[in-house]
Order: sequence, then C-alpha cells, then structure tokens
Amino acid sequence: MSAVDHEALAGSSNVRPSVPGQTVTLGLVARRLASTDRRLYLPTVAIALAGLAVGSVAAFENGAWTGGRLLATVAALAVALAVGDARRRTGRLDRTGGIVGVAWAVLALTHLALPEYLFGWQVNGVIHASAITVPLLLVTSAATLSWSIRRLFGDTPSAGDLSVYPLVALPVVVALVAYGLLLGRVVVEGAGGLSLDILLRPWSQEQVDGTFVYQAGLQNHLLGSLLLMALTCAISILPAIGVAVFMTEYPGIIARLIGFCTTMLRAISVFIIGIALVGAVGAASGLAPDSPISQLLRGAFVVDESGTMQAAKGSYLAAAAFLSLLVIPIVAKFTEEGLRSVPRDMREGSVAIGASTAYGLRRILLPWAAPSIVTGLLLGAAEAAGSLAIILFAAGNGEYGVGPTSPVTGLDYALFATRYGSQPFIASMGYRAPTDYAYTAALLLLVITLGLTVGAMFVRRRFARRYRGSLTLD
Amino acid sequence: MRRAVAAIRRQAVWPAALVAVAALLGMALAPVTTLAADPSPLAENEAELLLEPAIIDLVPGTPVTLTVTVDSVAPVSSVTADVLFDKDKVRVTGIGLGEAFAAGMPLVGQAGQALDAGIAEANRTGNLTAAGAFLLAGMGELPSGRNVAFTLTFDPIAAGQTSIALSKAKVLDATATELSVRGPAGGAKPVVVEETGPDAALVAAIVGAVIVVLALVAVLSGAIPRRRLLEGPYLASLLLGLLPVAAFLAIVALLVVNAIPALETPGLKALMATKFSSAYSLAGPTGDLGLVPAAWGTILVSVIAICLALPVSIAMAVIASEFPAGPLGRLLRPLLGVLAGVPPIVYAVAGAVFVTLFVAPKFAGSLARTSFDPAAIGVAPDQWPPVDVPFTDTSFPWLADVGGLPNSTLLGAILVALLVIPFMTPLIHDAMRSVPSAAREASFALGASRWYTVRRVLLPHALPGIVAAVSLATLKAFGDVLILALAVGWTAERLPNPLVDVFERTSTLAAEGANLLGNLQAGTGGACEIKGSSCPVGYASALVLLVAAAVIVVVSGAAESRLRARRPS
Repeated sequence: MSAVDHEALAGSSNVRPSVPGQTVTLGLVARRLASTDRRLYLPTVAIALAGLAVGSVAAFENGAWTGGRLLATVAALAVALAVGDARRRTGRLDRTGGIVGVAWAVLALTHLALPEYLFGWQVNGVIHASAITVPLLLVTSAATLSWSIRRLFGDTPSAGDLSVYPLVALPVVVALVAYGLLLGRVVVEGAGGLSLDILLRPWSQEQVDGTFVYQAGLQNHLLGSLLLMALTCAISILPAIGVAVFMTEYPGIIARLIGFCTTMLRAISVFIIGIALVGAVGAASGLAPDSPISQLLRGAFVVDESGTMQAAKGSYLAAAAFLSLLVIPIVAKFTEEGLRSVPRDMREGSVAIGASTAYGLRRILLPWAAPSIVTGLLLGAAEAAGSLAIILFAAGNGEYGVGPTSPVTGLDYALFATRYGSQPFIASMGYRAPTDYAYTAALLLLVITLGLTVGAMFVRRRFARRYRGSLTLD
Repeated sequence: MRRAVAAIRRQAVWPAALVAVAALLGMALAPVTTLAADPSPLAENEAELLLEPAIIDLVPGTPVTLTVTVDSVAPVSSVTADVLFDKDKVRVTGIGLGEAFAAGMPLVGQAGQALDAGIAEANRTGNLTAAGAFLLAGMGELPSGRNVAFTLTFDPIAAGQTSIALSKAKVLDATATELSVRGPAGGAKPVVVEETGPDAALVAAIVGAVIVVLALVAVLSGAIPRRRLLEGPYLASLLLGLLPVAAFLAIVALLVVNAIPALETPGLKALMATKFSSAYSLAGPTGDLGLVPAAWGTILVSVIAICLALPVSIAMAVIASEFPAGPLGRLLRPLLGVLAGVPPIVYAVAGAVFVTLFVAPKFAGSLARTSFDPAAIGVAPDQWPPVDVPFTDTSFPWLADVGGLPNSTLLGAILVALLVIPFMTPLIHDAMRSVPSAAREASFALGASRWYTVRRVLLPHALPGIVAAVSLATLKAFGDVLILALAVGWTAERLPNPLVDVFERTSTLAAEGANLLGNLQAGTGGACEIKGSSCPVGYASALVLLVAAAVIVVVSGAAESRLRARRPS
C-alpha cells in the first residue's frame, strides 16, 4: 500500500512565486460586508454555513434531514434576491449565481417531493431520503459559499483562490472524517483492550472436562509480525539493490525486462503470491517431515498437547521469501530513485580519478542511495506486516512458538481470525471464543506500520537535508 | 488511432513475450493427473470402499466434505461403514447421499436411532457408527462399478491436520448378500492419484535448457554485452535482478499449469456462466462455477471505488500543493504518509463503524422490523417505515450476516476507496509538483489566479501522472481480497439485478479465487490433488486477474507515453 513515495508530500521546499494582490484580512472582510453593494451576500454565506451544518448533522442523524426543507427554500429565495440585486445594479446576469439558485430550488423540491423512505424499483433495501439529500446539500452549500466569497471579495486574486477553497476542501474533509471515524474506532476500542496480560500471553486452546477453553493472547502474533518483517527485509535487500543497480547503470533491453517484471509483481493481486506460497509449501509436502527443505518451507513439525503430530502449513522463512516478492519492487524503486539522484559531477568525478565501476558503486553510489534504501526497507517492512493475503493460507494462531522454522502467524492474522477464521466457528459451536482482542491487534498493527512509515518519512527528510549542502557545489 | 495501437503494441512486446514463454513452459511441464487403475482388479463378490482423502488439513470455519466411494463387482443396495475421527479436531455435522444413492436413505448410528442422535453420539465418542446409505425396497439397485455412496460433512474445530479413517464396513449387494469388503481393513486409504507428468530430472533439464537458450540468445543478440559479462557489478546485479523475473515467470507458469484443468472440468462454458454456488466439495466441482458475476463485481467495485477516490485524491493533491499553508494543507502532509501505512485488514474490520453509522441507517431502513433492533443503530422505532410494507428477510440478500455485519458491494467499494486514496494522492501530488515551474510562473505572470493555473496548467500537465495513479489504484482495487471478503463476501453467486445494484453482494474475482484456493491447504491429500476439484477454477480466476493486470499496465503505459508525447514541453 505504501509503494509510492508519499513522503514526497512531506518533501522539502516547493518553490512557488507568491501571488501579488490583496490578502483577505478581518478588516477587509468587515469593510466588504459593510458596503451596501454586497450586503445581500451576507445571508447567502450564513445559509451556506447552515447548509454545511445541517448536512453534517443529517449525515449521522437521519431525522435531521427535514432541516434541509426550510433551508433550501430560504436559500433559493436569498440567492435569487442577491442575483436580482446584482442584475439591477450592474445590468449583467450573474450566471454562477443563477446556477447556484437553481440548484437550491431543485434541492428544495427534492426535499418536498421525496418520501422519508424510498423503496421499490427493484432496489434492494430501503433507502433513507437523507442518503440522497445530504450529499446534494453539502455540495450545494459549498458551492454557495464559494460563490458568495467570490462575489464578496471578487476583485482580488487571492480572494479568487480563497473562493475555490470550500469546494476543494469539501471532499477532503469528508474523507478525513471517514478516516477519523475508522481509525478513531480502532484507537478507542484497541486501547480499551490493551493490557500487559494480552501482550505477554500466546493464544491458547485447552481441553478441560470435555469442553474447550480458549485464551486470548497476542504475544506470538506480535513477535511473529516482527520476525516476519525482519526476515522479509533481510531477504529482499540484496535482490532489490541488484534490480535498482541494473536498471540505473545498465539500461537496455534486459533492464526493461527486469523493470516490467518488478512492476508486474506489484501489479498482480497479492493473493496470487499467496497461492505461490501454498504451491511451494505443497511441493515440499512430499518430502519427509524431517528433511531440511521440508523444515525450511513447511516449518518444523510440532507435537500438540494431545500428542498428535501437527503438520505445519508454512514457516516464517517461506512466508518471508514470498512476502519479499512484494517488498523487492518497493525497495528497488526507492533505491533506484536514490541512485538516480546522485549528482552527475560525483559520478563523473569518480570515473575521472580512475575508480572502477565496482569501486564507484561501493564507495559513492550506494552510500549516496543508503537513505533511500533504508526508507524503502522501512516501507517494505510496513507492507510485509500488513499483507495478510500472502500468508493467509499458511497462517495459524501461533500456538507453536515463534522462530524462523515455526508455523507462521502475524497480528493481521489475529485480526482476521476473530472475524472470519477460527473464532466465529468456535463460538458457533457453543464455546467461548475470545474475539474481544480484535481491535487491540488492529491497534498494535497500526502502531507498527505507522511507526515504520513515520520513520521512513523522518529518514528521508533528514538525509535530504544532509545532502543538500553538497548539491549546491555545481 | 493507429498511433494508439502502435503505442500499445510497443508496450505489449515484453508482456506478450513473457507470458508466451511462461505459458509454453507451463504447458510443457503440466502434469497429467489421473486416477490410477486399481492395483488389483476386484475378485468376484468383492467391494472396495474408499474414503477420499483420508488425511485432511483443517481450516477452522471451512467445513470439510468427505466422499465415501464404493467400487464393487456386483450391483449394490446398501453401504455402511464405521468412521473414526479425532473428536477434538473435527465434529460431524451431517451425512449426505451420493448421486448414486439419491433415491436412498442416509444411515447413522444404531438401528431405529434418529440421524441427529447418531451424529451427536458420534461427536461424543469420535466413532461414527454405521454411517451409510441404503436403497429403499423397490428403488432399484446401484450398478456395479465405482459410485459415490455417501458424503460426510465435518466442521474443523482447530487448525491442523487430522486423519479420518474407515474401520469396518459392510456392503450388501442387490440380493442383500454381503460382499467381502476390502479397503477399510487397513484403516485410512487415500485415493490413489497418479501423476503421469514429467519427472524431476526432465523438468530440471527443460528449465535448464530454456535458461541456457535464453542466455545464449541474450548474449548473441547483444542484449547482454559480451565485454561486460565478466564485470563483477554487472554480473552480480544481473543475477540478482533476474530473481524477480524468475519469480514472475514461475508464478505465471504456476497459474497456467493449474488453470488448464478448468478448461476440461467444468469447462469454458461453465466458467462463463452467470451463476456460482458456494457449495464446496472435495470430491469434485458441484453446482455452478461461473466466474462472470465475480468479474462483474470486480469491475463494479473498482469503478465505484475509483469514482469515489479520484475526486478526493485530486482535491487533496491540490490542497497539499496549492494551499499548503492552510489548516488542511498543514494537516494533510504528515497525515497522508501515515494513512498510506494502514493495512487493508484494518479497514475491513474497522469498516463496521460505517455500517452502524451510515450503511444501516441510510440504506437498511426496513431492517428494524425484521432482524435489526433500530435502537442498536440509534434510530427511534417510529422512524422506520410502517409495518404493512411487505418486506421479508430475503428481500435483502445484501444484509446476510457475515461476521455479524450487514454488507453490500457499496460498503466494500467505499472501504476500497479509502484504501486507495492515500495511495493515489501522493502520485497525483508528485505529478503536479513535476510540472516545470516555468509553466506555472508564466501562468502567474499573465495574471492568472492560482485556481485558474491549477485547472489550466497543473492538471493538464499532470494528466499522465493522474492516469498512472488511476491505473495503479485500479490494480489495487482489483487485487484486494480482505476488504472485499469481509465487507462484501467471499463469493459472487449471481449477477446483481439490475446490473448496477450496489446493495447486492457481488464480490470480486480476488476474493472468490482466494476462497476457492483457501480450502486448499498444503499437505498430502489437499483438495487440488484430486482430479476434478474446483481448485482449477480458483487458479483460473487468478489467471484472469493476472491478465487484467497486464492489460491495465500495458494500456496505461501506452496512454501515459502518448499523453507525455502530446504535452507541450
């Protein structure tokens, strides 16, 4: 998910010429509002703000949608008044204003015509009217706000820019609220269930008096995620550097082939890599359980509490090897970027003083790209921690310990198991299955991945600053 | 038009060549799996009982269906067997009749005991006594030969591997004479599967030969310069860089090899059907296995997700690059980096919050009366539609419970949109930042406002980048398994009606493929080792996804390069 360098957003200076013109200050606002010409835009601003407020409330409270009825009618009238007034004074029709007014009128009619619940027309389910009116109300209100600002301060360039802000900001705010709700839920519920106890105990299953007793625990899931990330990074670093070096230093038909294949590894669905893991592990199933290859791929066989041999479905090593197929393209992309950013004079200087290609790579190019490699590895580790679809078929609940050849598990699997895997099934059989730790696992997973992405951002920014000095040499 | 075709052709050279090589390799190496001939023919008055497969890998939550097959020399009227299983690992949930016994009666336990009681007792003791089937008098007889007598359904309790065995069995022929039975005596007996594929040495030889030929071609054609061959850095990075190539080729070959049997059973026509039944059987494909609904679901989900995500991403990129000093701009810069790290499974699980806040109250009004407590989702009962509106539970297939949540294609698409927004935004933002500052400055110098500059200079310049971002996001939406599985469902059973009904549950190829293959667990006796299982269908859906991904990569690459070429420099 984080293959792209989203740190670019946090990147350094983005030089842009400042726009000349009057900035909007409180004094200006007051003066404008006081002028008789524009007084009629004051109510439209108020109505737009009210529309945004009603829309926001009705998004969560179905009942509040009726508030839009009165508001839309009043708004249509107010906009019509303002447009009419402007027409009278300037002799020209305000076309944008006309569109906004019509939009409000349509909205008012929609509010009046819609029943509260819509059904029929082969639609599955009953749709509440607010599902239709709320988006319209929000968009119309934002447009009204834009238009009012434009008319209030229309003659300054920065006000022109400001007037677009509500329209552009609306989808962003809606999305941020969605993220806030989602992550807020994870944080609140997850923090509630967080305890030292659950962190230091593995998930376990015992048979007591004929019934099963399950204990929630995340210790092995947490350690498993960490081990998986470490192994994946260790496996992917060399091939990733190889890909990047070849792509930058030896362009040509082979480089294009390598480039295409790394792109495709990112492009295919992750579960396809998961299938490949299953295939590889399955191929090892014909071997004796104690043969080294079988142990590496399937994991060491373990004996469960009832004395039965449990066949492992995949070891941490095997899982990491296949996760690295996903991580190599990420690390390679960052390394490539780092190699391409090596200043020309440094490259040429290295050749000029007679350094061999190998020396140049070892002492100049790769050290220069090191921060990029680290960034890529951190993001790749975050990706490894979150790519459940790859280990899904092989993972278990981690009852048998954590080690390179143990059966694989991870925090993401813990999360999956509470919702779809073993736990709902256990519960359906009448046993008490612990599922209350789902959000705790989600929170831990979030903390790990966010820590890594923030770390990547930090590394990148810090090194960008360090090298800026040498960049100014030329 | 011709130029566009040429651009696509230029982009498609490598993919086509690679896929051809992988497919040829795959087909050359494809093992032919057949049921082996019986080791020894049945003697007179002999029947063989097979339980397939005997050693199974358990996935909690996925029921296992075992088929008990009888192979007899004489027509048969009744088959019973004692089945031993580990009661701590699996639990019997049912017995069904095989096709051959469709007109018969299932049996479990003591004579006169109800089926349920027999099953309950079996779950206490771990011995399913006298499980079987018999033909009712006057219903005719089972012809001699190999027939599926009955099926047993087990629900796994814990993950792991277990063996299920037949201990003793009785087969009566049409005249109610007992046939001597072989098979169960030795305990568990897995179905005999013979791989008549090439052996390991041949595989190694073919792969080795292909590699040598490719290497020779590469060196002789000058793709790999001869003078560089002995250079350390060149050779090292070449060998390391070819690892992803090899992995990709191997994956393509794996998919092709395993998907080919699907062309035979259930056949291309069945794959193109518009029905899919989630019935799963180890014995073979049962029900419909059409992939069209899932393909449509894939399109539906990704189109909705991109339509939702693209405006938001562009707005975010505009704010981050043009209004960086505002409150939103300052918030967005660190936030996007953080959001991009959120794993899909978190969206899938925490997506419940949208169900309770939006999807249920806004789109599920009538549930109040049937299966939902309105108070639970914060709506007063009197706000629900009147009771006389004729709705039933089945009016709302999209509300079927998965993990306790009502779900729909729409919910899945919304969550996928949230997943791809932090992924697309930085790409679009980058594309906007890479617009030469001269263009931007010229626009400002001519008196254009910032917004005008965004619309007329930045976005047109950034169009190739936006195309790339959209194609990558589409690939992500195509490939996501977990969000779709949890928010929509594992399978798409039929096309929605009308086609754009987003309140139905139409899952995607990725989720369906993962589901079909998820039942496959590594190890002996995995479902995919049985001829005619539905596994090839899972591989086929993966192959469809792979081809779709290649097409998107190629087409978007061509579009991007064309847009770049057209752009004023």
